[in-house]
Amino acid sequence: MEYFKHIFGMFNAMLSDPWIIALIFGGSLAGLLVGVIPGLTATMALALLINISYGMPLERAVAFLLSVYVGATSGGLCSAIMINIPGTPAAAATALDGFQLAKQGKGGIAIGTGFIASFIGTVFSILVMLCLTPVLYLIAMKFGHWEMFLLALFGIMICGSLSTDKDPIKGWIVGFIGFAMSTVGMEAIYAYPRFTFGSLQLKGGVPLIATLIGIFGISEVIGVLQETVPYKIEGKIGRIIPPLGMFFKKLLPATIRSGIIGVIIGIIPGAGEDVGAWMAYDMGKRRSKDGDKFGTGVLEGVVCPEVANNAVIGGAMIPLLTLAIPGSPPAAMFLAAMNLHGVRPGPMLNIENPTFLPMVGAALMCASLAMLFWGLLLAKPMVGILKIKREILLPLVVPLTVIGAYSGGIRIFDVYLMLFAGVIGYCLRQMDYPLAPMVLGLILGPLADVSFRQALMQSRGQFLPLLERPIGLLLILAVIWIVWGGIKNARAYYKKIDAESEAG
Amino acid sequence: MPAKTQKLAGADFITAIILMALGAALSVDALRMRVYRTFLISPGFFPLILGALFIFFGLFLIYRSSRRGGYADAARILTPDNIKKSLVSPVFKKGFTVFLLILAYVALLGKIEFVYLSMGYLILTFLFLNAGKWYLVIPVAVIAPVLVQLAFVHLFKIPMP
Amino acid sequence: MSKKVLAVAVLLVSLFAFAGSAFAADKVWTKGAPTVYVGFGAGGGTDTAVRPLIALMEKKIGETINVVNVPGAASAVAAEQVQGLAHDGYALFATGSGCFGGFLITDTSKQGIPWNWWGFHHIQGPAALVVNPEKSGINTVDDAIKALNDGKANVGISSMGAGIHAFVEAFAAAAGVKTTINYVTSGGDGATCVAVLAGEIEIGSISFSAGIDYVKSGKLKVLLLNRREALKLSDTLTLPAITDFGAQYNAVPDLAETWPVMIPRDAPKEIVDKLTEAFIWACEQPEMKTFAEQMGYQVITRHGEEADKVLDYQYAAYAWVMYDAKLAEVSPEKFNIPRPEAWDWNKEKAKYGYK
Repeated sequence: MEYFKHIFGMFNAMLSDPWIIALIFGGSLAGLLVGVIPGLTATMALALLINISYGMPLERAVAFLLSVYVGATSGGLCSAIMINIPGTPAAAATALDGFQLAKQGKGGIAIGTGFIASFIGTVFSILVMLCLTPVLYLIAMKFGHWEMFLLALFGIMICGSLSTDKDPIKGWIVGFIGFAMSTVGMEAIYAYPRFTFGSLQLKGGVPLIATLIGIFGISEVIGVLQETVPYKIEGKIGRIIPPLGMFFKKLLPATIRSGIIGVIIGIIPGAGEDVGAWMAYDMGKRRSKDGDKFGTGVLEGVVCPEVANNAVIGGAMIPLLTLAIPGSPPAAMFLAAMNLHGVRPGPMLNIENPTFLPMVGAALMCASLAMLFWGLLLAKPMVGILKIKREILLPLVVPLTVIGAYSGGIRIFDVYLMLFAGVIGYCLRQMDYPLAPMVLGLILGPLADVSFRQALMQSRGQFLPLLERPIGLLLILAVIWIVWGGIKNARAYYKKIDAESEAG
Repeated sequence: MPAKTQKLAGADFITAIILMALGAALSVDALRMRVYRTFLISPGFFPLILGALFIFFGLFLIYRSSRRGGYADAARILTPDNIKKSLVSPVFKKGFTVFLLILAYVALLGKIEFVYLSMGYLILTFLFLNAGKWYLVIPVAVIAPVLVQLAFVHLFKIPMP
Repeated sequence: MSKKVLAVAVLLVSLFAFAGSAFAADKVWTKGAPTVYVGFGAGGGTDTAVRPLIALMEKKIGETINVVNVPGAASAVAAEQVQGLAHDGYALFATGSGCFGGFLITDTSKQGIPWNWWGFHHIQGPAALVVNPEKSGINTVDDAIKALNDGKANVGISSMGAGIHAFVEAFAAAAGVKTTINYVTSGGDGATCVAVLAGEIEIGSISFSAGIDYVKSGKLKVLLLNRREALKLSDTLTLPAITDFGAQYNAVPDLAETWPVMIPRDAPKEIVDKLTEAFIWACEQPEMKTFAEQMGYQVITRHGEEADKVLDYQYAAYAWVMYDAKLAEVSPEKFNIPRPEAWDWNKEKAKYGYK
């Protein structure tokens, strides 16, 4: 009871401080913009704003930083839907159906639904966080090195089989190439340089942000502009908010399912918004009645990843607040900021700072409301951007990608790498290979590599003890299941096109 | 679309060869990496697995595309005539020019002030693409870089190249 | 776009540009804000340790100091980058003091060596050995030594070659452990704590600040701290120092890690002086004291020759520990780095330009 009093008290405190309200609205708008611009991510925005928040009282700093976090996680959906360039890695799955919808002239409703889904995802995860934190953090402790490795493998396998509906094997190949790219540089256990060819720049590894915007951004720019007549998006803007009846009837199961997936992925340290989005998309495709239409432009395909990637936020707060282990990279930044303010999340938090968890919950709740407000308000003008001729819009994206790549490490080398990644992305597109698994591979590669070897360190080089771990066993079965399904799909696909080509 | 299928059968064949070469290179290099205590925890372990996977995937792709006429198609793709034909196709030429403009832009980064460089890049690209009337596109090309610079330097506090 | 809109846009743009360049007088950094390149990822231990210092220095100087994270190669990438830029006082570097020892012998950074910088070290923290007695059955230092000798205990560390790794090696040598220790890396001290708590690892070697809350709440037990006197945490809890367990442990070097902000040694003197002033002020602030207390650090306010001296000793000690643990192939001898036993500041200080 005391606890719920704290929660309401916090709400009251937040809403009665005009500064906090201003910071929440300002923060979520800034976050949205960061998310929209390819190359700027929630992590980067939080890193830049930490010092600013240092001068604020704790409540304001928490409200401000969490608003930016929520805004940036949601904003990525706009560029994914409008120009097929996900603003953040977490929005790559959203692009699959979102961009198709935009091409069909349904960009407005796609963006509107995306923001509503993001809102529901955040709120759902906040409720879970407020009520179940004392129980759920145990999940984080069940994931040892071996489970982390399998989770990374599982993540790349589903992303590979989902990002192309034709031939999952191609998706896996690209995913493993992403893994291979992630091995460039000093590895994380012995700091041994791999595949660096003596270059100091490469010792730092292949930069994720530069690769992301190269692969998606530059390749899209070249690929679209080379057409004699680049595609155009016509039609009226139409409605932004989906009919509520339809939303509840058709999208509710997907929403709940994706929310649960997002929260659980959030709790697991190391797996972030991107993995959550892909898993939810996968489950959506398997469980939905319209599963086979995923990828052709269905709203459910936007709802699943957007609910999930925002639900990761609340999930990631659970191990952060109880174990001081952040569940996602932006959560790590939030942890750093809280340390600056003298709040030490961890096992002592409830004793030293009993109002902190309610404060985070209240701030997140206000932030998600502000995000929804801005999202729906800006959806119409955003869709207006869709109508700008591609010959003008896409060249304008280029300077943004260049600075986005540059700002990740403040070095021009990253920009060169971005261009190189762009050429690779272009070639892969031409050959019908999906791009998303490469980026996810780059994100999950170090986790897979290091966790695998750490698991073997722990078992002293024996494989047998690893196979006795129950969660690990479940994950192995899941990977086998995905491989089996993928091979079946690939065979069916080739049978079909070979039959078609014989007939033709 | 029989034509496309065939083309991809050839492309698959070529990819498979590249993939196997990559796998072999990865494996050889991985085996040459330093071994600490046991190979299983050493830096070369993971790249070796990936190398093996690439060789396996390569073999699989070769097998599959061969059954669909991949070898013959690959041979057709790689004839000088065909390569020449793709190189002079208008789509390739246009895409390549767009790429060259980006390349020049990136290469001059840090040598010319970001704002002016971006303006130059945008103007040239708009004109090449015939993006619109000059009195419409040139103001866009001038204002956009200034706004970007302001946003990044003052709002996001990121130093410019 | 209509002409009106265009005109307004041009006006706004020029206004902004003017406003940006208007206030340049009386500044430490007249050409724009300086940038601190932190050699580890955002939110990591180093990042968390240096940001409060930077924020306070910012407050004192009254100008913005940008912070960017350039992780890679145990901060060698950032070190090379900063040394490669103009030494005009606009590029600074931040890392952990344990990193310098590896720069030359792992061939990651030639320019990042300690005598190429002025360092500002605000806090330091001891290493600790922690256990979860319930899961591991290890309750005392003797239990731990026995488990290590029997080869039954895995030791968790954040990464190979880090200060806490060096500490375990030195402890084991002093305790007479003959069996090779099996390490499991976890990527961070916080993760090591969780692994020990979950029973995945028997003994954790951590930077004490990362585990302080687990210790306070009774979930983890500290076997010993790498310092010379016991630490009183509360009225009921005093943590033993390594030297409490016998004279043989005096040989374990006191390698309390620091997280300095550094500026190239030949940067303009005015800027270095201003930074020094702001640094000293920052260390005196109550915020810094509170921060340090909560994190289990100690405020040390170390700069100038004193800072060079301590860092040079750590530089030598870490280089040799890494080499002895076979983490580097090139011997520190090749670079004239003395063994810690033979280290003598009077012989080394010429490198730093002292007489």
